[in-house]
Amino acid sequence: MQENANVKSAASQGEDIQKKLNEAELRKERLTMVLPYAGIVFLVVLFSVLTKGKFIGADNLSLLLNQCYTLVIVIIGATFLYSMGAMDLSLGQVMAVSSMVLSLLYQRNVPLLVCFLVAVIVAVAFMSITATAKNYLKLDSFIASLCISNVASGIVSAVSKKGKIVFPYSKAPWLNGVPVKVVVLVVLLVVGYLLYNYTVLGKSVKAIGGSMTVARISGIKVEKTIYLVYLLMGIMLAIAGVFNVARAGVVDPTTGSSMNLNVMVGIVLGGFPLSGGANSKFSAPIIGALMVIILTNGLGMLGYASAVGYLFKGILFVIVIALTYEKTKGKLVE
Amino acid sequence: MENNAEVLLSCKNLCKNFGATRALIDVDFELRRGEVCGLIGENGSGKSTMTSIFAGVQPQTSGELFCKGQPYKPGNMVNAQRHGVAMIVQEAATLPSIDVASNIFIGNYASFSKGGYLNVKKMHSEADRILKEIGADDLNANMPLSQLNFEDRKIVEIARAMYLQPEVLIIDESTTALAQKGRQLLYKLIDKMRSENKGIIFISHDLDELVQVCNKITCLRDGVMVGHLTGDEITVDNMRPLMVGRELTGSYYRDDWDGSCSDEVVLDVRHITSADGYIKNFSVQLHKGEILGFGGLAGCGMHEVGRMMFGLDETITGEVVHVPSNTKIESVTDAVKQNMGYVSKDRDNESIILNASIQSNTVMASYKKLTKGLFVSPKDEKELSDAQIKAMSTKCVSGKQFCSQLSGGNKQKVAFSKWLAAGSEVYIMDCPTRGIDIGVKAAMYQMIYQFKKEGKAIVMISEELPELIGMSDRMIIMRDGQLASEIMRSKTVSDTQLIEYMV
Repeated sequence: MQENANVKSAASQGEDIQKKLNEAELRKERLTMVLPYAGIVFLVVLFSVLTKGKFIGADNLSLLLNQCYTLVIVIIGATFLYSMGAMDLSLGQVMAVSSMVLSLLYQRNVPLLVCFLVAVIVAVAFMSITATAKNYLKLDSFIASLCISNVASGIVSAVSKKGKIVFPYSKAPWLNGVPVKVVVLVVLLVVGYLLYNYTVLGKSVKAIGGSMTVARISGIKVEKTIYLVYLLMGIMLAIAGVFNVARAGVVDPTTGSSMNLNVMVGIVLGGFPLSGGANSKFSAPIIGALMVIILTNGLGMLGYASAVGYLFKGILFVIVIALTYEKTKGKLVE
Repeated sequence: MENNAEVLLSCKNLCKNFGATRALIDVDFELRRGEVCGLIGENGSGKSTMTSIFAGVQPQTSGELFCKGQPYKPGNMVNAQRHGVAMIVQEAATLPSIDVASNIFIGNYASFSKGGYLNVKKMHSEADRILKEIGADDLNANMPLSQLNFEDRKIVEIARAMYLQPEVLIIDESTTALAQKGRQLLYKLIDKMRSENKGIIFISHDLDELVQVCNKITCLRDGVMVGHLTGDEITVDNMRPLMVGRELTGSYYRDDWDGSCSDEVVLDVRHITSADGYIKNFSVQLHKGEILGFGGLAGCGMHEVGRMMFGLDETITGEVVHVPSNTKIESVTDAVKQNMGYVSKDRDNESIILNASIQSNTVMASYKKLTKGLFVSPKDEKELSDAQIKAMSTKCVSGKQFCSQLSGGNKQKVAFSKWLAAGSEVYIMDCPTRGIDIGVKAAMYQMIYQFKKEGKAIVMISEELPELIGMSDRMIIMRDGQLASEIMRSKTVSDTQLIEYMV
């Protein structure tokens, strides 16, 4: 039996190499963490220069806030859903139904708070159907959400055929004010962040996204967690619905129609795996959503809102995903 | 025994990194004509990595490969086969939806096609010829693969590796999937190739098998080539210390034959029947400080009993009662609440989340303990996880490393530490040492014995008889979903005695 002489020397050399490799990994990890933020900064600087500062003027900033507002609120909830690997295609439609109920009640002089609570109940009820289908009918939540999406948009179409669903926003102009909007958004972001990173709910959600079986065997209450997440989603949809209708003034069949796609694009652009899992980061989808909105807004200001803009956006998406998405840490879609 | 035959396959300073993990470090290796080289090493030592580089599955990070003295860059498996290097891989690598012949010639359809037309008839007759040649006459070229059992699929893989008449055949842990028929077939094949002066690299955990088959042994440890054995040196006793890196002292299993434990019943299984009715009216009691072994043949129902004990599978009659708290275990939540832990047989799907960090996995069952008010502190999580990594000496870069990057033994350590961290008192372990090398195995046995001494209760379901005999205080042998026999710990219990009860 011969022991190779290089075993010992390899061990001491090995430590140096190992250290370097670890550092390289760490650098790579930091880079993927920073890249989305850097992307936003880059876009902002680029558009500011190209528009000679108009992009960061007060007018445009408040426009940006309005453009991304409902999307970001919905994404706060959707982050939990997508972390579990539950893709949902009914978000925009449920938001529309919820804000429709809100508007109809508010027209009839019901106090705004009561209208809002009813809107929450409506949104939560729709989301609970999907949750129940997932929990007990063992139906894929994606399929269930498709059904919900159809039902919800059917209701909105039917009701709006009978007459325009108007939200009397002159009765509550403060709903459109920047201060209220900023406060609500900050509160929701903080609550979402804390829930996601520092509570059992957030941890359970990520575990379920990693593997439902393992989560269950580890004593995580899978069904309860799923219900809680859909409950949270419903609340977020109702809140988003209020601000959406307060700005738009009406609910019609197109309300929220682009929401599902925008949510998904935000999720993917932020480097968030659609299959969910433990490596998901709370900020990622929000950063992704901001990127879409900034890009759309900036290109619009430059006069490329249409054809060239879409082309440019499409190409950019592919580049960003290729750069930021780490293939070894989970599949994009399962 | 010096071998001066031509070097078929070799490498110099071969290195392979996976992210920050160094799987191979400056490996030099030679395979000469007529050699059957057993490649040994613990899980994660780099055996499969090295052979898969030879077979063109993945490229090396640095270093050179040579095939018959010429620089060799396979690039992919098909190209490696053209160079005469074929490999039978560890995982099942056949496609279930197409027939046997298509599987054998996959990637090489071109040789049967003329102007876009595939000569299926010729392909099938050729496949039948190869199957006959390797001694698998009972398989047919036109059988759909989905109809074959796991072993026969492995044989199809062997046929695939053999049809280009490779000069070098790499066999990666294949025999673990093969029963007697497949093994004999493989041994015959190895003999034939040796007599034709070809080369074979054979990876196996079964050391006795290696002694029989190989005329050279090469050992890897932590990605470093640590030594060779040739001729008479090839013995199990020489291989073990080479793999582990130290003399294995003391006993492998526990060294006492005292099978006593407390009279206090912890888990009372009363007349349970499984949902499919296969296990009927099964009762057993688990005591404090007891290692209760479960043994039996495949399909005897022992795994299912373990799952029902943990509330994982439904019982249609009877009940499982956690006696100290006098609660019925009806769901996993009940079980976890009563400080029970379950280590699944299917590690990668049921024990740990591969796509999550060691830390996330370790603390997963401890959130209740970690919650202060509403919140879980990340600092507490890290402390708990780091303590476990240290206690189990899990080999990793940090707690943030993903479990998918760990070797089998280390994954199992993470699976254990999840319940250890949660402070479990009752452990249900389904095949706790499956696919784990001897170093980690020995550590696991020591740990299980330590659990016993601490008064914890352990159910150990195992397919390995020596392990059952070596560790259990009491053995439950099952057959056809029923209790076949109950055997107390004793020095005189033998394998054959247990097998008699099983069949």
